[in-house]
Amino acid sequence: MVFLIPILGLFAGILLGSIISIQIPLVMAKYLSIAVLAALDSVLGGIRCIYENSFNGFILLTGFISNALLAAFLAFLGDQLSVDLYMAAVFVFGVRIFNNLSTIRHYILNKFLKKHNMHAVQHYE
Amino acid sequence: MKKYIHGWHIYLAVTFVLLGILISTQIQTQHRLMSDLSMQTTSDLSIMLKNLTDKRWQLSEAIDEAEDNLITYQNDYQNDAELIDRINNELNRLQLINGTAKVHGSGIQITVSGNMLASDLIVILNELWAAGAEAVAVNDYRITATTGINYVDAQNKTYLTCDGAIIQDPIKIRAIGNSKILEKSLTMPGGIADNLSLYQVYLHITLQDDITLESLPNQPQLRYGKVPEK
Repeated sequence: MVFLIPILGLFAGILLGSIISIQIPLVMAKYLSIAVLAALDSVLGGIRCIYENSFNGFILLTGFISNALLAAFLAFLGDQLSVDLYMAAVFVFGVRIFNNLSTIRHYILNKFLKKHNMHAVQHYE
Repeated sequence: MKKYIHGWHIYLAVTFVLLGILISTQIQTQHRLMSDLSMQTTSDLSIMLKNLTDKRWQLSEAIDEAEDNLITYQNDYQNDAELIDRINNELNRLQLINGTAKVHGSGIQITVSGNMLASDLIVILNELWAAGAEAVAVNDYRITATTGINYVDAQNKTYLTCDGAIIQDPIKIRAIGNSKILEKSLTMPGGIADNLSLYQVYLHITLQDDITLESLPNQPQLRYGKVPEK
């Protein structure tokens, strides 16, 4: 049941965000989207670390904030230098998110199979 | 190993709350972005323009109808007091338009810094009239339908003139009307304020609740135009 707390946190965050409704200037929308992607990557990385027994909450929180800010700043810098760093960031974060997701899926699957005395799935990286 | 894991759900929950706020903010921003006019396609914009133009025609037809009604009512006067009242109202309206009476009301004051050309002043005044200004004055000189705006060279300097009267710096334009609409008409992106700033001419606009504009000192003499008899 403990894993429900973060999920409740996500809903609470969405609710909170829609209640306080932060007004971001429209030109910043692009940078915010890349920050969301970076944040999502950090969160999935954190979940993966739980399964790998190397989770550190402080590293997750600082990584979450600094990654989001850095990604938004890099996309902004790219716009100023007219280099499409935005696309590079989307690609890199996209690949990382899918990698993390697949690793998490493997861990969950293995845990489930072990529980039922079945053979573990080979973990691909 | 266990010490890393301790309290993971709290940290993860805090991170998820932040992620939720970010996602929700992003969704709202995206919605605003989609509904922003600058993000619409040309075909959508032209449809909107067409709808608004149709609406405008409908409204102007409604105005015509209302004016017809007004004329009908005017012909049905029951007593003289009402007639005199209406004539007085009409007289006040004409005096306001012609600048023959003092006028006060809400509006804006524009202080111009920089060297403005006569054509720029004309564009500003035109913009103000188009935004529904009811009375306008440049440095206390009332602008009417017959005001001529020009410039003269005197003492190695170019001065703007209204009906030949020199307009000294700083130029202050005051307009009575809906102050917010008047201000927006000048400060809209790509509008006259943006254009003038390219030439180091800046408009400092202040919204005012009550401004008073003086009447014109001299009325234009009308000699040739005659109103045909009805």
